[in-house]
Amino acid sequence: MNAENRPVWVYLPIISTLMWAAVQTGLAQHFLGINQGQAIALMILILAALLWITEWVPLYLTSFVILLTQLVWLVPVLEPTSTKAARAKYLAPFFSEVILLFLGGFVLAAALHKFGLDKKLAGALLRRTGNSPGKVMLGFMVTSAFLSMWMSNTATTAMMFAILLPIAAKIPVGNPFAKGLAISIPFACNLGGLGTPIGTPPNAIALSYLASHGFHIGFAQWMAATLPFMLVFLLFVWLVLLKLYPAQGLSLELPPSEKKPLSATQWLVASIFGFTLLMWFFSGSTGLSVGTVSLFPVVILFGGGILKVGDFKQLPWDVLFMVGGGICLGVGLKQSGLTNQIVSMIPTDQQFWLVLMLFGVLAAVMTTFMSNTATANLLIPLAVSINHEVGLLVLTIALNCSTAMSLPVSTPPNAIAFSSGLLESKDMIRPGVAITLLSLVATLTLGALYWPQLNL
Amino acid sequence: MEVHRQTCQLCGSHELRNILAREPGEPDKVFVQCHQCHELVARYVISPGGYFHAHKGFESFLRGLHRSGESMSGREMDQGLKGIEDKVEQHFEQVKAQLIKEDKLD
Repeated sequence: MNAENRPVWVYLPIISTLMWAAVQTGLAQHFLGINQGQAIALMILILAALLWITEWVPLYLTSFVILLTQLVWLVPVLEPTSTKAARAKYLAPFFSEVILLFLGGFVLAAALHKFGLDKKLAGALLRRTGNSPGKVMLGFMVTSAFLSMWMSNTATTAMMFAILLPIAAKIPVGNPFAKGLAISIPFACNLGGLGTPIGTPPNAIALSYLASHGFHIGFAQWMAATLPFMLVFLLFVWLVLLKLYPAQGLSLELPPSEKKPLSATQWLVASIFGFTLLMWFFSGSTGLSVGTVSLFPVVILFGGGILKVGDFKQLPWDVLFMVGGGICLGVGLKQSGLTNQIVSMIPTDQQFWLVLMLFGVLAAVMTTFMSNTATANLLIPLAVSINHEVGLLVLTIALNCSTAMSLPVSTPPNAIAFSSGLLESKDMIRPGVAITLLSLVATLTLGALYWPQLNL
Repeated sequence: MEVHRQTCQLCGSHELRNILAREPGEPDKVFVQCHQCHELVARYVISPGGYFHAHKGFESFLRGLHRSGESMSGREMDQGLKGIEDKVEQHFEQVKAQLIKEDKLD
């Protein structure tokens, strides 16, 4: 055993045993005034939080730990007969509507990427920027944000950085604008994820919990709720970066991009993408849910041989399982009645704004240091237990999970930018803190005014 | 660890040339050609995230990531990127040492 895996083999068994003993001896129940099922649900929540915060085991594995502990510890206590139906409630989150929606999104993104449509689109957008540094930065940001609305934020950052590196290499050493450009891409990718339900995993978690509370939000409704914020945040980041990292009279030269027409396969993939998008937008009128619509690109792209079994294996299954685990955690909290217990501990109407602010700040602080998805998985189930202004609470948490980005470890796109060697850790802090604060203020004020207008 | 020094199966030459082939919608492939008789010696399909170009660790990482999709944690990504050059160099030193041990060098 080496120092790296010591937590898994030493600390984790000790902590788990202590948790188990606290429940079995009745200590947890006695001190917290809860019953055995609620105590178990609480211990599972604490264990999940510990694993997601420390990353002692891969993030997706925590989802399986949640499922396992719920099936072997919680379910037998809540439903001693442990029927198939009792277990099905905990298994269902791993193949829910939201998981299907994300699966569809991943498959479309894989096809766009495989046939170079992402690069083509990036080239077409960047061609319009000209040579002015400010416009080039804006071009990179708009392109990054737009692509990451549909594709993985991380993969988009990697692709955009590959385009940026030769341009950055021509910027004279010491010119601060290179740093600004390097920061603009990950920040735009992080923000782009806000714009669509499939943009980033916290959105999926938010949608799932909203649906479980009767808010069945369509694709267009999500975009109406988040797109204005995304655009304002992008504009803000652009202005902040230009101010902090001025171009100092620099003129940039963009490499010429290919202008080859689309091939027949590229046209086909683009058509399937457009068709799915339309179906997602009009899912309300067609009677098909967004999850069901997501099956179309899966069946067409794999069935038509456009994507192959190798592509299927490459889909980010870990993300799907992590989202499923978070929703499964919420099922345990609800079934045990712990959520009702939390409601009785928290607020009256007068204190709701305080609670909203607390969740917003918690989301921003936690995601600065840990995974956005893990943070959403932990905070959203607790927030919805309040059962008051659920839409506002969930959207506030989801948005702030994606807008805290002041450190290289805050998000995978930030880590990529940091490793490029173009900037130091401290360079990210000022613009990162600025956007984190703006997002907090905007969601707590404008969001609170705007989202209820959309029946959220 | 097993190490093998590639040899042309036709002429027995050790002088080989790697040709990297990239095409849209396909994984990157390396064709190994014999420098002496110009025949094909082997073909390797590069797994996602598997490409590494010495002294261009970051660019290699971007290319690999580009093809393998999502990552969930900034910390995980940061650790993956840190010291990538050193890790590969260290592994290469081990491979060379093993080749010498097994007397597989000229």
